[in-house]
Amino acid sequence: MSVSRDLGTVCVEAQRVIDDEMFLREQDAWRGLRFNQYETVRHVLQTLAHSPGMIVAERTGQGKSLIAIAIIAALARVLAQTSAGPLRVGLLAPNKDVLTNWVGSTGSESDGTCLLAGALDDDKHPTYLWKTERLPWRVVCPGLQIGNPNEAAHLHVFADHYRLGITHGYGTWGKDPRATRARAKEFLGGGPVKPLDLLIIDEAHQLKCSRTNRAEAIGKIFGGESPAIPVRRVVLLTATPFQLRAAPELARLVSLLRCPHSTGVDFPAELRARMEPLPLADLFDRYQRVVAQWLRQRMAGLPAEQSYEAASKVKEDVENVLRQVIVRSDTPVGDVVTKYGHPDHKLAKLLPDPAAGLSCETVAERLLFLAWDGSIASRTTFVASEQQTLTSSVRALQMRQEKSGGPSAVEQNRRPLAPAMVDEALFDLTRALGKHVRPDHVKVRATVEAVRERLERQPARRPVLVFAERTATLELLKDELTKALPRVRVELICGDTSGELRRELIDAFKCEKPGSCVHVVLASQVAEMGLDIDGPARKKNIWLIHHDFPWNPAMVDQRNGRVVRPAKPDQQGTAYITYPFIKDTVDERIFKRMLARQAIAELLLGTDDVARALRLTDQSNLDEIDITDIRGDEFRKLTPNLSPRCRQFAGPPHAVDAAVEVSEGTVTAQVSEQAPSAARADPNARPSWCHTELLDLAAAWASASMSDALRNRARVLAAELGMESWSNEEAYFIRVDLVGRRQTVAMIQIEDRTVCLSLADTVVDDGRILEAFALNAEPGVAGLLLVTDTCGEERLVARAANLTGTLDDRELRRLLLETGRRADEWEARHHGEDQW
Amino acid sequence: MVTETNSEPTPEAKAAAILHDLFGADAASVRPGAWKLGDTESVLWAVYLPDAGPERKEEGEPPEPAIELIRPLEDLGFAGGVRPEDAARHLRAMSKAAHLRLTRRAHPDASGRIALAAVATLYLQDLDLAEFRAIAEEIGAVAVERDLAR
Repeated sequence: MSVSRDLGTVCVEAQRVIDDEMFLREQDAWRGLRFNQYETVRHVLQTLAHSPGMIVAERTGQGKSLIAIAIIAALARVLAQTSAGPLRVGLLAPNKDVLTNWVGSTGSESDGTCLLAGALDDDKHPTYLWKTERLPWRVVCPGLQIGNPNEAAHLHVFADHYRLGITHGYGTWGKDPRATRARAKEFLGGGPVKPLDLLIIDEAHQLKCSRTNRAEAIGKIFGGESPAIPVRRVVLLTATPFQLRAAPELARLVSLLRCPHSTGVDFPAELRARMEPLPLADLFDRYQRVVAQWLRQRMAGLPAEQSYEAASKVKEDVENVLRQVIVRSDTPVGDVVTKYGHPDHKLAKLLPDPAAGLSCETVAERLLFLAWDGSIASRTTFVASEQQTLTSSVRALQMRQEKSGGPSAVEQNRRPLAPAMVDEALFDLTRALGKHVRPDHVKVRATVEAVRERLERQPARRPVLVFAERTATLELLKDELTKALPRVRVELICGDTSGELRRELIDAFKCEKPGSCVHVVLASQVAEMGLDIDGPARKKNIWLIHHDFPWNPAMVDQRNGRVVRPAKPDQQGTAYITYPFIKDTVDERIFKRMLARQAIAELLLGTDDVARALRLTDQSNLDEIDITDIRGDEFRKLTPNLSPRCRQFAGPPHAVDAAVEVSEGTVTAQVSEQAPSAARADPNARPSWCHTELLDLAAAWASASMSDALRNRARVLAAELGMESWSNEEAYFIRVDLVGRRQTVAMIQIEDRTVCLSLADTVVDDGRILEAFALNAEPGVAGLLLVTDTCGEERLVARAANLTGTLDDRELRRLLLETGRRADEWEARHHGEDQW
Repeated sequence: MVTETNSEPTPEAKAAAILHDLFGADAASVRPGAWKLGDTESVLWAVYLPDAGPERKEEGEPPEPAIELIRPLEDLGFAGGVRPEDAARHLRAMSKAAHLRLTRRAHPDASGRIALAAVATLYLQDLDLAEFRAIAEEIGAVAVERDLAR
């Protein structure tokens, strides 16, 4: 094979590497990429073959880092095979903690796969994850392995963080080209300044504002006509590519994606024009308007067909633009209950219903909040956190001032910003607090009481994570919780907590061992990114309480991502997320504003959350919305789908050839993972009998990747029956032979059940639906029903399942055959010939 | 003299014995091959089928006796009319159930009325009592969920 150093060609070859070596490999204890991750990796490589960059906007916890590592590994592999390496990668993360996670997820120094040079704690010097000529180039991380450890090193990764890392002292070196070059050289470890093949920027939403030092510094080093370090491709990782002002924020990220234009790779001129802030704003505004109109009409029970059509058309425009630069799998977020009121009936008794809002109990307390609320208009956003501290915890401020002996220098500096009358009123009210206001604040009281009820009797495996904006609030909560629950361990993670201690506390939060585990973590914004604070793997459930919230919904999403980690296969338990707020105060205003901003961003990235989308309308009450008339899947069709599979299915690369050997009455299946020659010629090839729709259904239904035991049984069964078969991570696909007709059946696992699915029809009009009832009247273990797949499409499906843990071979065979038969009955009746 | 004590029970007798084991006195036989199970609030029915094998059977395949568990969910009168949009809604609501089929069928009380019913087939040949219980629970849960959703 001959591959030039042209990155486009390398990206094309890397797709083959992904297909051949990383997808569905089953060896020892690890498995390949999850199916959606595989699809995203492949999609990004396809795009990078002809495009300067891509934003990977997977939701938090879906394995963005793993996707990036797979991309790096595949590219490195191609260069290694052709001796055209090493692959040179720049990796930028927002801070030391996140960068440390990258080190953790890519191996360790001890196993020789990862070499850490420099010190993460040293802000002034860059950190290298890999930098050696003879390092075995394989990349190992949980769930992923690629490469031959005996081959020579062909990967250099230069890594640093951009909060005080690579951008440190930008003001002093940014204007001097020589100093900029020196900085660039420092980032490259002092070696010669050569172009980077790939620049990966983690948590790239941190660079949405072009006027920050960090954005300017990165632009100076990697962007522009003559960058200090040219780059050939860019991948941005962020779950929240835009939140506050979608158009300019996306335009800014696209400008980062265009860093490679100095090396001659750029977006087409037409796309560049469409990605300018004004055209984007126009498009997004139009889309938001038509969707809001459709929602209003539906809520009012008015005819809405025309507005639906209009919204669908604009949605397509939005989708066509966004798909060029963003990829986001349309995967379930996991077992999460998020309500803007009470999470469930049990919690409702404990946490006051935020849909109605918490109430202040005394006139003085209320006056205080109103005074601050009224001052908002004359204040800038950056003092909002101070207001929130007051609204969410008056006593927190008292405690802090008692500790420090008065207002901090920052608070004193901020004082002139507040109108004099408000300051005076506040002063008077603060003086009166000791006598007339109950010191335990309503929200603190609610949170403490809820946590106390939860943990008083059985604290084990019931983790609680509380986020608040200010350390003072967290300290107060810790104080109160420790008093209320003396046997429960409550710990604080804030700016003062060292990196080492943070890791220790998070490990203890994940620990199940009584005596050494942390039950409650109270965290400030330092823990909002890049950390898994999801409690023990075998937890009953986890609570996340947003004691107060930032204006920026991206930060709320980031917080949620700490507990919702759907890509981690071993995690159990529902995540309950709640947002208590105080009614008629700035708290409520922030909360509702945040929801509205979240709604716009979610709408553009694709959602089925009707309740959240209703924030786009004039709906102001949180608790009086009846959305039962609007189905989530119906709404999903009106929002862009940026999933790779909905654009171009990049299916599994080759079928598994099952050869059967019969000896002494036993049947064993020998499975060859060598691709058939036809499939080898076309890396996109997949068995023609396995339809995208069925893959989507299997992905949507499977609750876990298939166990090896069931996979082997399915393989043997297929071999016994002489039927073709093929598998991916979620399912085993068997092409069932029904006396001349064929049906594809997907076998998946849902907890301890084995479920068989077969596609009967992709489009079922109402006129024929009753016939499903007629077919269901025939006896058998399989039934026809309507289900929604990962793309939000409704399908008519035959399914059968066992209900108990035991499943003998006879029953497994019955499930398989009857499922195929049930689907085929429909197909024979309505299509006459084999369809699926 | 030939006694019947050592002979293999008929499939129907086996079905009756299983129902008796599981439901005791609550399994009331309403007619040959049909039982009413449980109290009057949430009636579950069981019907014996001598052959529940597929229609398109190959020659020589033996009959497959089974029990069908039936939970009538809605009385559709003698006409059995259902609006297509309701049918779609019902079929959608079944997506959480693992083992059931939703269908229109004659009410098992032999009244001649048509019922919207959740049905599960249990083959006697490989019937496992634990599974029988699990299916009975699931069929009950569907009825309850459906009632709550209305």
